[in-house]
Amino acid sequence: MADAMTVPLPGRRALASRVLVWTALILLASIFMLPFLWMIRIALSEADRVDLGLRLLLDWSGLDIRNFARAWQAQPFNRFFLNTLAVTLLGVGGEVLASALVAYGFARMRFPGNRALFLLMLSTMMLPSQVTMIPVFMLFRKLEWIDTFKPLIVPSLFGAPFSIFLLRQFIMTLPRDLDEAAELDGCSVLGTWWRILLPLMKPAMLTVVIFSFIGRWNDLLGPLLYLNSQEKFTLSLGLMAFRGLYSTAWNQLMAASIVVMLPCLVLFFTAQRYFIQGLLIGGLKE
Amino acid sequence: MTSDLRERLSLWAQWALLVLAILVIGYWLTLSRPDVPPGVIQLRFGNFGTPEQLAQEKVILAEFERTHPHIKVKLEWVSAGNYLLKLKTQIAGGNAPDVTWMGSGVFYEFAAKGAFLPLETLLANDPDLKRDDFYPTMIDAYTYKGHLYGLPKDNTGTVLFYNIDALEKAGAPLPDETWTWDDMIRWGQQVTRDTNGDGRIDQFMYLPLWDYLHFYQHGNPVFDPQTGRCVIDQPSGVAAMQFRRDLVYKHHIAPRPLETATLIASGGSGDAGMGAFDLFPLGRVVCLPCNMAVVPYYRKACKFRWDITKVPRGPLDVQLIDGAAYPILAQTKHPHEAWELVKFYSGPWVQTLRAKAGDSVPSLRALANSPLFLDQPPPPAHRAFVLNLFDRYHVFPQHERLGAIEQITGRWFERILSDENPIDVEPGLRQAAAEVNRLLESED
Amino acid sequence: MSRRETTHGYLLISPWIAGFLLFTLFPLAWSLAMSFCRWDLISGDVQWIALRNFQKLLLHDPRFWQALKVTALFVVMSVPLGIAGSLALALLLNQPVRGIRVFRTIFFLPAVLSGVAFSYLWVNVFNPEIGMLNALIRPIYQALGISLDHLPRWIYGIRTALPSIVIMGLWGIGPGTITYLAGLQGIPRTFYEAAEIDGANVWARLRHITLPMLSPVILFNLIMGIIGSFQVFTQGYVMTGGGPQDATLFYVLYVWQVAFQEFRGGYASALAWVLFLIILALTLLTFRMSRSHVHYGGK
Repeated sequence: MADAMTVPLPGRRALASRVLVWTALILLASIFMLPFLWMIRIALSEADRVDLGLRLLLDWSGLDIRNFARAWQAQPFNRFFLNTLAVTLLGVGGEVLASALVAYGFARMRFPGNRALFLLMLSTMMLPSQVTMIPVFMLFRKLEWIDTFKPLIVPSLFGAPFSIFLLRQFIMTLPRDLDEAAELDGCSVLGTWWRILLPLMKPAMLTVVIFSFIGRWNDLLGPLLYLNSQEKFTLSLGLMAFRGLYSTAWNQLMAASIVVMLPCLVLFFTAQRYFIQGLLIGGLKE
Repeated sequence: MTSDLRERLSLWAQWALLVLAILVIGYWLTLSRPDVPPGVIQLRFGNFGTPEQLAQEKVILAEFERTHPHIKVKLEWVSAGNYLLKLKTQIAGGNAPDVTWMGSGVFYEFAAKGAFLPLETLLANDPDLKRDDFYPTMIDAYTYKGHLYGLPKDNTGTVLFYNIDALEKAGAPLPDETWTWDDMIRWGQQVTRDTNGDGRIDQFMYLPLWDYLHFYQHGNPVFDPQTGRCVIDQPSGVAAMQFRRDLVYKHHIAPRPLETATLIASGGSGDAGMGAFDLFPLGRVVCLPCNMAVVPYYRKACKFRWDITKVPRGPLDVQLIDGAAYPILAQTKHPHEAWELVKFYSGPWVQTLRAKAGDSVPSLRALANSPLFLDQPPPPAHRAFVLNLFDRYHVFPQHERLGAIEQITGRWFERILSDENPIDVEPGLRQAAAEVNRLLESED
Repeated sequence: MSRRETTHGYLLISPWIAGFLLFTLFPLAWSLAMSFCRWDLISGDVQWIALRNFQKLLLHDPRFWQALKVTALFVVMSVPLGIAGSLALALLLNQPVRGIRVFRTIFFLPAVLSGVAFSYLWVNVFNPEIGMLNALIRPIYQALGISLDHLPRWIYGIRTALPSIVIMGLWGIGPGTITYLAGLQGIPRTFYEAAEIDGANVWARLRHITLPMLSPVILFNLIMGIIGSFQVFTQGYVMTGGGPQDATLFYVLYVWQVAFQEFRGGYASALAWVLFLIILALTLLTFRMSRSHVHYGGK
């Protein structure tokens, strides 16, 4: 879509400007990729070579792939990985379904206070979680949920403002005739939501899944507050504990960091267009 | 590929992903089941330290569970750095372990908040252990407002670790118990240098880790024994801090804070990083003051000959001693089983093991003065001097608000010692003391 | 608006309402009450002290002002820089060049990596001894004969720590860029053609067509940028711990420290409420100011 819409320039001037733009883009892209290249290089370095400076980037000898295995075995990272995956999946699942339900209410039902409540919901997005964290912590303490995964999962069942917002915007673009027709055929409200709207919302749902996944995968504050025992650690905590113990083993730290980033990278590369679509739903209008 | 086929494949992929997700979650749920047989009490033991210490703890707990079949202990292991913070969060969250261990410095802080169970009756009624089995100075260190809140785990003093090879190579003598700071400074100028010729100093004589040490050695008590107010800004304190700063900027035998930070972060070859303590095995620092807990790690990590001795004496002959103890958390539901565990850890079986490990002085006096501790294979070759420390010195600093106080003084010391935006010693200490005293008055 | 629809509407949004009451309104009310108390989170003791927390915060707590200053500086540096950066990048990407998809991927990529792992990457890059940046700069210093003692200290230097984190933030401009790109592609070509006939040059076209047409997107990114900048936590917690000398003591990090390192629940609640009021005021201000500058034209 990008290539089709841009303004064509005529003649030689166009060529010159094209070369210029290309050079600028390639330069910027290199700058963007350089830290990652550096990270990979450090992760592959033998221990006594991480301080070689520029020579590291120019001379790719002395590689040691075993850093990955060493780092991964130094802590129960397998367990951390599984914990993170399970907490993330459950959280994403709960958040997406609940948000889709709420978004349906906001988008399709006319009731007094709809707009005001919607604006109220949007405004809660600007509240840093540190503002509410102590009472919420105490609430979970009363429930005896400290050092369980529940504080990381259960709140997702109430939907998340940003997801509700995206889904609501998307539903607004869908024609009303379909759900009205379904209701005339005797479908209940929930039936219409489940049978008609959810299938239509699939692209937007995927977008929400991806945003939510990345947020939850990288979450630090939640695990930091609620998880105490090591066997319940997520990758964020595991990585911090690893650095606490192995502060000087840069090659292993970078290796572990790369593995931690990997699922987000894979997700990004396989579902890139849903990211972009999500930004376009959210970024325009209102 | 026809679009119909593609659609069907993508449908399959979606189902496969869903099934996979359910499998992951299902498997993960089975992992979280505890397995405690009926009639057995499970204790949670909050613990931290190096991987070497973890290995030792596992040996100890296996023996404990063998001799106490009705108790099972779940070891909750945290890497050292943030352990106290973690423990505080657990207490605030109502999720504290039953037993833990803790250094003497912060002990009062937890005791003052009512986090621990008083143990004096349990100890008095115990058939196996007596108060007199331990060093009195250590029992004092865990007694707060008349109640005993912990049994001594071990006793450690801050001793000077030194790198024999590096000193000999630089033509300097080995430090001994007669050394003063003048000796350290004199020989330090010879030892501190650029060993690889890249124009930057990479070997320092000394790494000052305990700023309060210099205050005590200059006759400043940090807290006034009568009023409890912070007095680091008195002339003796200013002299102490000036001395501490001169080690870096006048005598050039110690790294600047930035150099310390980046030296730590650029160690490279260290494989069990312990922050600043890694600079010794890495050869960046030739003399390092530290307690004996690092001995097992240094035995493994140091590729050179090393030994320990007393930290040089200042204007006053004062040394830092400290220790650690096992308290029982007030939130516990099993105080009697927790006492069994604490008693076992402070008792002869574990303390014999500790004596052999050489990472600390056993808490039981009889064992500390036995060949078991004294005649271990080196390094360190010298160790008898450590025992004398416990008869001569007291444990300090101890304070109910030590954590918060050290955060304040640490911040001001950092500024005083920095080469970027520094503040002079005297105004710096004055502001630090004022801030500490404001904190102490506010009771918040 | 039927009665049935009203009931269904409330039922459908009830999960969010419950969540709002439980995790936003109730905590806000509780922390408002606690901000007038001394509340020791470890022992659980609560004691009413009226306005003393706020009095202390305003009059006797230099770290509160430092945290406020750091956060304000961060917003002032990172938000405009982020908007300018992503807008410029979008203008570049909007040119007819090959491989646009590859570039888009590259620029977007770092934005999905925001966690602890990403912070550690930057801790290494910024390390004055072995980090990538000084590895690149060191040869220049040597060639110019400047002492290596003057190499930037990045996150370890008082003056450079905060700008370092701003620089790191520039790696996250991808999403903003995408929204501008979409906005650019939504501007009818006829506008530019008309302007060209009128003899408007590149700058004039940018100023009088592109920017006004993009103003809703800019507003959106401005607000999201301000919200995001106020919530920066991981970088401070993981990379600098607020240091050196409190140079990166972000406000939310300070709230965290008071709450879960010092366990002073009352004071932390007071701090949190001040932050809440500041953000509220700022967002309202942004909306009010934007009313006169944002054009919802073109439709």
